[in-house]
Amino acid sequence: MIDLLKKLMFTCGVSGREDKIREVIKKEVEPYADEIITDPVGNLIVRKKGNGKKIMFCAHMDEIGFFATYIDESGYIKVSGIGGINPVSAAFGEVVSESGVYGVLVPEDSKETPKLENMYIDIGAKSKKQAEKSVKIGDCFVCAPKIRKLLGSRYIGRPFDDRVGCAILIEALKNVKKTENDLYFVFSTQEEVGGRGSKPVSYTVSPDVGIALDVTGTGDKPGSKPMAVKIGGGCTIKIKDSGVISSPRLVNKMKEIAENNKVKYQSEILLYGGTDASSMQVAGHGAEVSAISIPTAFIHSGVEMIDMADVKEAVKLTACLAENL
Amino acid sequence: MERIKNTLMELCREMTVSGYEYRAEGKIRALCGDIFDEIKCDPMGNFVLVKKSKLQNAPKLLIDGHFDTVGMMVTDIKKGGFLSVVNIGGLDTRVLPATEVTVYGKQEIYGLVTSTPPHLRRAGADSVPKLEELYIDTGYSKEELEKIVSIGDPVGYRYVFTEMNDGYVTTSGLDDKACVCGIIEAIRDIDVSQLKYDVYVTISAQEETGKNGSARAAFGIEPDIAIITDVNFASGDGTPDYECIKCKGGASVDISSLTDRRLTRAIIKLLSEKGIKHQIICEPGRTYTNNEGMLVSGRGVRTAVISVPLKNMHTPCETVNLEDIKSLKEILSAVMYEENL
Repeated sequence: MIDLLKKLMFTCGVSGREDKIREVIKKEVEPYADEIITDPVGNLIVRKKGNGKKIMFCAHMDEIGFFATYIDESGYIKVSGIGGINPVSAAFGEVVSESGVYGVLVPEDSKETPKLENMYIDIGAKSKKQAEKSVKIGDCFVCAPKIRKLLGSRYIGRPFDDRVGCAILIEALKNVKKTENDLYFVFSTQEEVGGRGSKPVSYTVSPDVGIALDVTGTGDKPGSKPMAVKIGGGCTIKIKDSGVISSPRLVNKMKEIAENNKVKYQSEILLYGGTDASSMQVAGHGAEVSAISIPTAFIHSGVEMIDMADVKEAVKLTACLAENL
Repeated sequence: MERIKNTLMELCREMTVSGYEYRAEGKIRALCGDIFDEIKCDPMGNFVLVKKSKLQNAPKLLIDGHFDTVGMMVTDIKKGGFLSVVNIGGLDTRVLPATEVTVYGKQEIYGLVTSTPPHLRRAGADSVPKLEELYIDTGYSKEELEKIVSIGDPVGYRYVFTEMNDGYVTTSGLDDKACVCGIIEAIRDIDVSQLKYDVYVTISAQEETGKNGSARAAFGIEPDIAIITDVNFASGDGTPDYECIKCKGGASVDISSLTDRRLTRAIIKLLSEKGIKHQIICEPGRTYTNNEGMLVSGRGVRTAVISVPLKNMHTPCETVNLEDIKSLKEILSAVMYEENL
């Protein structure tokens, strides 16, 4: 599982540029799928056919990052943020472009709280001419990927959001036993810029039930907003976030299936932020939706923190839902 | 009028905080089973009720009123039997402290929103507390409470229905159950032989949390015309007259850039010709009703908005005059009998 996570996390895939990560995921799922389609907005739809209920699981494969917008005469690169960039955590960090060019993202004035518009990427170029040989306007960068084990089963790194969801879907797809249900494992694009990929794919698939897999915040770090979710307390079943009120009927079924299969779970109400669940709920005729989330601290920083024990529970719950919903 | 009041009481008695509308399926079937040809509850929790005309290939008329209300949801169970909550929809926090609520756990329990006595409020403290500073006091211990209440359980204003003077009634959830009541009563008394449309009534879900529900139902129905009914601000409670309609002035036809001109004009003409009581309000920009989602659902829908004047919106004591619900009923009947819209 860690090897798979590492492979996914170390493949660049900023929103709108998911080609590479999609190919990596496609290779992983190919042996287990009945049908694989890439749709016009780049979503990867992996189907395991059945005659029963249409269930769509959705994890987004894009990550936050930067687009190069301007290269000045000295070869310094200005960028625009893609998704919810936290400039404080990005400042003085290593960045890498999709073609593998390394650099650092630094603020012009190191005493001020950094703002992205006052930051630039230094790739070590001596001139605009030299810089342009490695980077072109429109190329994307990400904060350098990382994964490190801490005490127990805790890991830090980036981007767990939402490669951990992708890894869970892949593992669940491998584990799922024979079922009547018509299963769609969707790896969506452009979630970080407003759930844009999942909207059309939810319409295409028109599921009866939609379940997103994503990271969620926690309430157990100093200064965190009150939230009854803890790292290591099990995967969560989403009840509400800013974009969706999960269907209570579905949530009750999910809890029941979790309890029957001894899955450790927590109830999640996320006060700020959303997932692809909202797109699935309001596509076409509408669907019953919820999400399974991994409690994650320091989301969108270079040191997102998760507990692998929660990930295991999520894999188990996803497979159980695929078979039993 | 008595029947309108009774239907209204039956509707308001049900807890339908956004997302939990489906729980009232039994009530909807009991109230409407004899009136409609078909009733179903869709995945989002919309109730779709069908009344067919006698005509072959009649056009489809959708009439929408939303069933959901603002409310709260339990986010945590605290020491001493307190619940922390998050708002569902645009709750008026000015009137929350010391409000009576019902918590819908495994059983319904009484709760009271906490309030700090004026003597103890620190100088300079905000006069309007934020929801995260308020808790629901239940009188139970944490351990007892955990057996009854789970994170995610809905919380609604406690049901109290009061008749005031001159046809006014007050309770919570009249937004938008006053309109749902008008729709049901209009269909109850409809003469099917005169009906020019196959009528699809949506008693819809999740309007208060983003106008998400009814557009999903409309996607499946593909109506030719849709009438959205919702409440609108009644004048007399400190709000400017030009943004309000008057209680006892009848339901209003809304003129907005988001509603269909031809349809709206035809309805106003029809009501004037037939002498049916109504008023008109201009909402140049948004209507803040289900019309916004419905308009762009599927291949697009021609919509009109009809609203009932309401005082004290989103508080435990929303107030409406039964005469205005009767007016809505009469307007809808006239529309259903008119083929040139």
